[in-house]
Amino acid sequence: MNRVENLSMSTPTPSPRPASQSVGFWKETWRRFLRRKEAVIALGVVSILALIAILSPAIAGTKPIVCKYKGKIYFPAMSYFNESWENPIFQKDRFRKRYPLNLPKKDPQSWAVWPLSFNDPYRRVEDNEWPNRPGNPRGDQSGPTKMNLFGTDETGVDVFAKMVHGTRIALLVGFVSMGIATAIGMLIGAIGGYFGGWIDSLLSRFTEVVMCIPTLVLILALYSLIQRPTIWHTMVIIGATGWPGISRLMRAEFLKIKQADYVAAARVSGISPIKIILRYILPNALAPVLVPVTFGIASAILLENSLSFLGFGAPPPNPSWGSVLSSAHGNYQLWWLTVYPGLAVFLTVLSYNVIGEALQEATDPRLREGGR
Amino acid sequence: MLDFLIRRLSIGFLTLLLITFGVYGLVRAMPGSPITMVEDRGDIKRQISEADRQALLKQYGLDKPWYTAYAHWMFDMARGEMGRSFARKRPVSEVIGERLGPTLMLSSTSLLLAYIISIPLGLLSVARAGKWDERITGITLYVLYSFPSFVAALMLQLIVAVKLGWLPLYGMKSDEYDTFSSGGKAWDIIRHSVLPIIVFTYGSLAYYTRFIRANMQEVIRQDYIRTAQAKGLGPFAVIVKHAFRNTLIPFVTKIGLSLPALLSGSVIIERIFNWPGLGQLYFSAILERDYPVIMALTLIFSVLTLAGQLLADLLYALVDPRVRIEDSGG
Repeated sequence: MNRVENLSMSTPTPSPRPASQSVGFWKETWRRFLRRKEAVIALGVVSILALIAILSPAIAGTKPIVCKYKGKIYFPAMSYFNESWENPIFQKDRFRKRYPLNLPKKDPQSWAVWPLSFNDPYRRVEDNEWPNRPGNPRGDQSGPTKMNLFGTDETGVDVFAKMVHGTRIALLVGFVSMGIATAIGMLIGAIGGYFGGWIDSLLSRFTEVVMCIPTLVLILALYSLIQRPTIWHTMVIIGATGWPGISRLMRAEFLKIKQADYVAAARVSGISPIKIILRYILPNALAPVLVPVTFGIASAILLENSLSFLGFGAPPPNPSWGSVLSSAHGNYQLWWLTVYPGLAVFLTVLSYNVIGEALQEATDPRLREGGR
Repeated sequence: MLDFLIRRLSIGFLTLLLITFGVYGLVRAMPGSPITMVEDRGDIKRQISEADRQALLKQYGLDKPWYTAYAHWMFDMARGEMGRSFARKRPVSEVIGERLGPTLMLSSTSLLLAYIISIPLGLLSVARAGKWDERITGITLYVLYSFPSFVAALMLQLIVAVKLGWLPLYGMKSDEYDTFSSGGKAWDIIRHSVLPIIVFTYGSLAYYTRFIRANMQEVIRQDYIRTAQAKGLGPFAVIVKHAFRNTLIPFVTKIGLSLPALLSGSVIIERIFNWPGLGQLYFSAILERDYPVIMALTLIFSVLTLAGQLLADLLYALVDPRVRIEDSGG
């Protein structure tokens, strides 16, 4: 008795350890994600690309970022995002998209802040368009120079400007088309998995058919139905054909989760199926979908570039990386048309793949190493 | 077993009907017909009179609505008649037949190479896990896996064919092919196929290696591996005889799933190398609205895809006695 007391005296009674705040699933995932150095670098690359995309008119262009003209402030470079954002006053005053000479000529009081590189992604810069700047070279003498960092293509359009503005397309294609594919895939998978029965068989068959139809036929057939294709059509088409994988995964998750006791409890207490799907099952089915979505972004970007390369996609002048690569095919002397856009596609795809891989390891408990 | 087969085959048949029906509807919905596509090339001599057009439409079976035409196509197909190519004015089977060889030559070589190289690489990466050479090969393979194949094709052409001049730029045969001896002919084709085969292979290398490694990592933690090590077997015997043999099951199913890739080829790679394969044929058939060729190729690809899935399931049951096929759903 005594001894026991002594023992308990000598060892301090273990005070209940303050229960460590249990972090939520997403916070935990984020922590695991950050633990991987290459994933952080890849995320950094994608962020830089996003920054380039947002700032593209300020990096390369022939329109001033900000200018004061006839007493008012304008942002002509914004029209690179959307043609119709160009202020009508510049059309009325017959600028014809040539700002550097017209601005001081038509209003000596005007001032302007110019993009870093005076080059246009859609057309060749002519002689003396910018005071004392020679026009862009064409043909064989068009390699990388100080004026054209990545050289120019056959028609004299600056490759650097094309690629900077192409970043916008690449990122948009990734997010928009995968967004569409994810929405369709999740909807079809969730409905099939939750309701089961004939609805499920019907939707599964439909998914299988879409999966088996060669992507190229599907895409080219949809493409030919469009009168004047733009880059947005490409995104919708890639999205509309890219959902079967996500749908199958979603269905499997729903089949699994709907067996859980808490879902049965919710059903017994009379909660509507829509609410059960959205509030009870969906949040728990999101994590496994995240990984194929990330890989899907990479393949959507790749697909858009392949389509542009094959000559489908927005009509020229379309600054997509794939269209630059397409002009490289057959022009082997102009190596810069292959190397720079090729590396850009590669870097982007690699980054998304690395992010996807890291997400997979961060969200899948089976892949976690024990004890961590 | 027989029940399972019958059920799977009938579901597969139904899926095939749905696919071909869908694709037929899609390609007929595409604006333009084989006739207008020929006219579009701008040659004034090729303009045809209205009467001739009607006659042609009738001959091609395009005067009927698309679902009737589909039924006709289906019944012809059931009798083994693939029809005639509109654009090439020859039987479809002949057109496809002459493209089959070049595509198979690339795909089977590259598949074989991928297996031959990736098995030892995968085993090595398990044996030397964590060592510097394993890390370097792992990273290299991952980078290669992310490298877009059409970019690689362009860069290889640029470096190997244009700058160094070691290999021909594109095509399958040289212009003076007919003057070569038979040995020279074979050598000529081999030289032309090196670059496309590299492009087809390098990406799948990483894929298979990682696949093998993932499976091996699971097996290598098993007790019987520890037993084998404890009784003093060398690393080679442990990894190859005890571990790798037990990863063959998923590996075998992979072979089934890679069946469609054998024929589908790649439109973009075949176009870059101007290789006369099925991918290019498919692409130009779509552009020319050559319905019989599109449909025949679609059917072939779909059959292969479905057959590959079935084969994978069957092989799975065959090599793994634990899998009882009756239990697995269709």
